Amino acid sequence: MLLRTIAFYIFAVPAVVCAALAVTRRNIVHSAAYLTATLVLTAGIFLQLAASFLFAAQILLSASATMALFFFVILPSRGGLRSRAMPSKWRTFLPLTLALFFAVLGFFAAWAGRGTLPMPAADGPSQGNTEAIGGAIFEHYLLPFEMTAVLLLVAIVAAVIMAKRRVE
Amino acid sequence: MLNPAPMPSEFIPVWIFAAIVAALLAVAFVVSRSLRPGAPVTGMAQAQRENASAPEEALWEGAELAGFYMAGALFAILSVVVLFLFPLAVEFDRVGVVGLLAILVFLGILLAGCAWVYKEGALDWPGSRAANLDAPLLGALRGLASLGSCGIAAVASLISIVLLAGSLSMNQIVAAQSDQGIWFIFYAPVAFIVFFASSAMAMDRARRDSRNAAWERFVGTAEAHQKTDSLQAPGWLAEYAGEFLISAIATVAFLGGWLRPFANYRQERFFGISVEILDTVPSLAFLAVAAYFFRLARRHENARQRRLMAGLGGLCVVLATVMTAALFAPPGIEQGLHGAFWFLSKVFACAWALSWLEHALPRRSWERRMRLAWRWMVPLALVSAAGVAVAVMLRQEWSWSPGWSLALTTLAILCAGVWFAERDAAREEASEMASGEAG
Amino acid sequence: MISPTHYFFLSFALFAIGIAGALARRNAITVLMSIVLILDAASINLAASSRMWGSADGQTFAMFIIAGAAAEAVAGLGIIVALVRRDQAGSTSDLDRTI
Repeated sequence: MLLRTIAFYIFAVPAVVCAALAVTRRNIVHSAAYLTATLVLTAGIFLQLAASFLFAAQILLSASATMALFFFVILPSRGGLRSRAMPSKWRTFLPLTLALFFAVLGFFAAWAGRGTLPMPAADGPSQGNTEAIGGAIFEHYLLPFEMTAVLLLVAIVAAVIMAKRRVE
Repeated sequence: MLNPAPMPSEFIPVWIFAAIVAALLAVAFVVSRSLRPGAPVTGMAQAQRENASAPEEALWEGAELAGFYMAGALFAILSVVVLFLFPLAVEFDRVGVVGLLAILVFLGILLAGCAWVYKEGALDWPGSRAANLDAPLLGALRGLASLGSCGIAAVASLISIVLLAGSLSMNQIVAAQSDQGIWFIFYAPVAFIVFFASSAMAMDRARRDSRNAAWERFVGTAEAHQKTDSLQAPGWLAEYAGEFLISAIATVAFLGGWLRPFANYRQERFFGISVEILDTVPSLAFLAVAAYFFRLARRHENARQRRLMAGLGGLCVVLATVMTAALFAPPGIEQGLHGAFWFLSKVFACAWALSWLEHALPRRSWERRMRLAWRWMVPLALVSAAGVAVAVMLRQEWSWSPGWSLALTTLAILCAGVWFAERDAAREEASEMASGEAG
Repeated sequence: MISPTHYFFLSFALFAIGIAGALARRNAITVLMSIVLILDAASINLAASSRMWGSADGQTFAMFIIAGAAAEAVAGLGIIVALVRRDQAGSTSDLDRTI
């Protein structure tokens, strides 16, 4: 149990630190790099939860495909990679308060319910996580699966239209 | 229902792998930071910097940005598609025709979208002025774009294998080929061709006279430096490693892994000769190699080389006797040793074929590679997955023989491919006449 | 598995950081990255709850969220690319005042 707690903190603390760095850097490329690190550490969290397929999906989709897309748009940028305007004092103060409020609310909720949550079953021999997700999609989530196809179609069409229109 | 969490000891290989990856990333950052132009370096890096500064400014026009964004968007969306198909492929034997229809509707919607994208001309990848410039960042981005595109095609072609095997485990895939009595390359030849070709394209092998490999744009062409140049060595090593990795995956997924050819046909006889004679192939192969070494040992001038060759020949004879002895050992040992021999020989055969392909075929431009990947490889892989799904369902629900159902779907895929090829060729002729571009 | 409360704390912390970034930053790309962070926090919460209740539904939902995040990144970055191409913004770092 101690090993697991240590493993959790090895992934959780750097994740929070990298996330905080990602949203506060002036250099956009640094920001994207820290976000990639956060996503990879989150994949480690998924692995600890024994969600092996989610771990693979997070690395392949979030940390690789989505972030590659970000880098493809950030790097060929002409005017430099530093964000010119950091937010003003008031503009920082209000969102920080809001974020702190949400965080405190969430922490309180989690702390208050800490004894009442069902603990998961004990460890056992490994069986497939991919099979479990596949079964869940086939049994319960077939319609959202097809809706995802439509969503991706919309995204492809949007990408083509925005990339190919001639500049007037 | 979710299965209980696995023991932590089962994930130890993953943690080790993650630690290695993290260490490699750290090394890469440290090395690139010490090599960046800001640091005072002389020689080749300085020449590179002086050459690259002027042209790179002119490159970042809207067209470049839009081209890269298009590549990235296609990569992101098709990654999602491919990743969604894996859990479904694994559970495919449990669902009926409804599941097959769900997968076909999913793929149909997306292929219709891809067809529209193709018609809009977003997959044309026209050549640009930046094609041959020596800019490092541009080369890196292009390398990343082509690697991602060809990688998606390779992963998509593996969906057909998962459909046939019903599992993502490599052990299970080879066991399924043993159970079904045939290597999957014969069941899904289109998928094998797509996997092999797109992996070869993704490797971006360097050649001595061209400057198109992504890492060559950074450190200079292969011919400008000796092969032992420390800056180039990781590039060459990475290419070799990639070749063997691709060959290993192709061997496990398509070529039956560690199975002997005709592994299940233990009682059959061809022309009066039992199939069991194939079990002597490992010993005979080692004896042949030993004979070759002894012949070399006799003809070499250098005394030390002669001793080395004789020693290697002796080693091969020892291995041949070990292989023969394994035939009379308990089945576990025989499976291990002979399995290792068959696996390694298939991997080396694939790596040899890959090397041959990449060195014999002319190197084409990055644009052509992107066009090939997005117009041919990815759609073919997805269509092959759909075809294999239909074939597996035919076999399951209506008890068609696997050979017939897969032959039918492969034929359908090839007809569709030929039809598309003719339309594509007509379209390229029309666009070439219109714009007079050089391919 | 350790108590799920740990994972909920992590998820809320990332969520709060994401909200702060999305509301406070002026650069469009950084706002997009903060939104990806918010979705990531939701995924952690769902995966932890899924393991807690022993059902695969949460992890499936997290898969759909990851797919949705990819599609949203495509669309958002497409808008940015279109803006840069039409010279309404000099570069991606000039998008501070156009949004």
